[in-house]
Amino acid sequence: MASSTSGSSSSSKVVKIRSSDNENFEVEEAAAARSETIKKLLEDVGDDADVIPLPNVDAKTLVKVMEWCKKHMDDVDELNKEEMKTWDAEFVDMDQSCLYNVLLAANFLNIKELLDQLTQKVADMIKGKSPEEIRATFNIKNDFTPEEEAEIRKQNAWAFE
Amino acid sequence: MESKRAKRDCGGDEVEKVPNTVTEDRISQLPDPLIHYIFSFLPTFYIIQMSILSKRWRRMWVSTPFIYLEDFCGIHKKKYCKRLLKFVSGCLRYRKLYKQVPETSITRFQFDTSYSLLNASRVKGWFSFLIEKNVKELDLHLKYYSLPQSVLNAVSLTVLKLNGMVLKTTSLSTLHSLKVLFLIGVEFDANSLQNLISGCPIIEDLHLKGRYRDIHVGFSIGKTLKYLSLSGVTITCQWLEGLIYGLPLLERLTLYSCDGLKNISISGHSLKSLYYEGHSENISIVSHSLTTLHVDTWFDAFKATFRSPNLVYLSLFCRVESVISIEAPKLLEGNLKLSYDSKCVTSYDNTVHLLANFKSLKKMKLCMRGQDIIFSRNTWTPPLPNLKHLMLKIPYHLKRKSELEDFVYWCAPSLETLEIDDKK
Repeated sequence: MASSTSGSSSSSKVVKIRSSDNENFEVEEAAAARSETIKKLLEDVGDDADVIPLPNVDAKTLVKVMEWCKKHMDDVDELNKEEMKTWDAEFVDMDQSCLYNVLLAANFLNIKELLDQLTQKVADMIKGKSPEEIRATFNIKNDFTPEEEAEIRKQNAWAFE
Repeated sequence: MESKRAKRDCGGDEVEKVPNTVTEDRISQLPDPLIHYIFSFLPTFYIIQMSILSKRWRRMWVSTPFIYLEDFCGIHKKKYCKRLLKFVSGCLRYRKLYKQVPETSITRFQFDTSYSLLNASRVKGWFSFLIEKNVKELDLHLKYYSLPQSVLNAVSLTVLKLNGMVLKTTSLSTLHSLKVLFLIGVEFDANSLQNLISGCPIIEDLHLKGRYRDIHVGFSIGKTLKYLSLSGVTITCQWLEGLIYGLPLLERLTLYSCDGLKNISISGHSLKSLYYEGHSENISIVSHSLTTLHVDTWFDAFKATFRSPNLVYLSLFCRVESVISIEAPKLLEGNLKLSYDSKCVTSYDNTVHLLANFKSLKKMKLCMRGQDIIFSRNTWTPPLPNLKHLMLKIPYHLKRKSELEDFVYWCAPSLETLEIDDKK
């Protein structure tokens, strides 16, 4: 994970984290601390920390999350705002299974800004679609009988008349 | 437009994208709080529609803590207004029916409509219900609607955003939990505003945007304030100075298009970021804590002193004749936009003088606005000895372009990358 365009911070302290499938990663502390969960763990164990295990996140997902954290390590100034927006938009443009993995990881690792971006992305995929289109987009199986469906439509008629 | 930067370097494996073939229903497996999180970005109309997707989604909308209502379409017709009113009442009625379930508490209520609700008697009842439910965030865009006093006394509220409404109150509010207050184009008088603000003992974030610039603002506010944004209102420099002096936690200050700020003097003890945009003649900023500064005088020529030992980023838009003195030894990044008179013979000296304030800079974006900028022979010491990266934006039809390039390389002898953008 290299980033040539990241900002001016030169904090070189590195922390080790371990994915659920036992892969170890070395990450700059400032990047890892974007996760409130990791930040808290680091505070608790102090400098003696060997490796921080993250039992809920697999290696592939962790690479993605840390890519985001590294990019968002420094405060964004006005000069880089637009560039960052483009980068973020490209970042969340991933296939669905990856999207949910990263979403769940962001939730577990407590990275609010990333969680905001990902849930917003899912919301954008829903917006403007009919129920049938939403089912198709997310592969949701309609488990209502035709009678049940008709009943719900009737109950919700006040909203759709 | 900015020229496109290098494509992002993508760490790890490139994700293989399979278009339109989702093999597994993952969204339905997400825990309820995450589904509600997704709902928080969607108008309630959509999420009620989603109750028909499958059994998993059947009652999701009733338990979502976010209600977000907006016009169904942009058409101004009485029929649609009635329908909207009926819809909102329906939403809230369902909440009442399910009130025995604890998850049905409402965290955020967002209502944005272009219809006039002045004659809609039921709106008051909605607010009573929301307050009874201990609503935390209200985001209301109801044109000319006068906010009921009950809202101003709602102790559960942490966020109150009002847009285009009317604020008139003769008694002190009791917004004891309120941290964020946005008043955008709200009609108010000085007393009503003070009554509202005085009742917010732990307020952290205040945005005030006037509808007309003739609104004079001069309130007092609690010491807890961290972020303040004032735009499109008339204030006085003395009031502003006093206000900032009395706010020991103020981190971010934004002043946009405010009248009355001919001579600004700001010295914040805790200020980290300052954004100023508007006309001004004299600006003095002395702050130890400041790291980010943006000053745009709409191409007025002005006198300025910036003394900020911890400033890292400065963006400055002004006329090239401006007399500026900067003491900021840690400055690393700058964004400078200079405008030139046509055939201004002193433009070269002015440019060098201005740039000499940016000695410590490593990265800079420089935009020169003027067709006929003159770069004569240099006799000075290079003003930007540390600059490594420069992005230069120049007019499409600039004359003497090669002269400019010579000038740039002379200014910044250690320059490593130079990007020139002369697109229209």
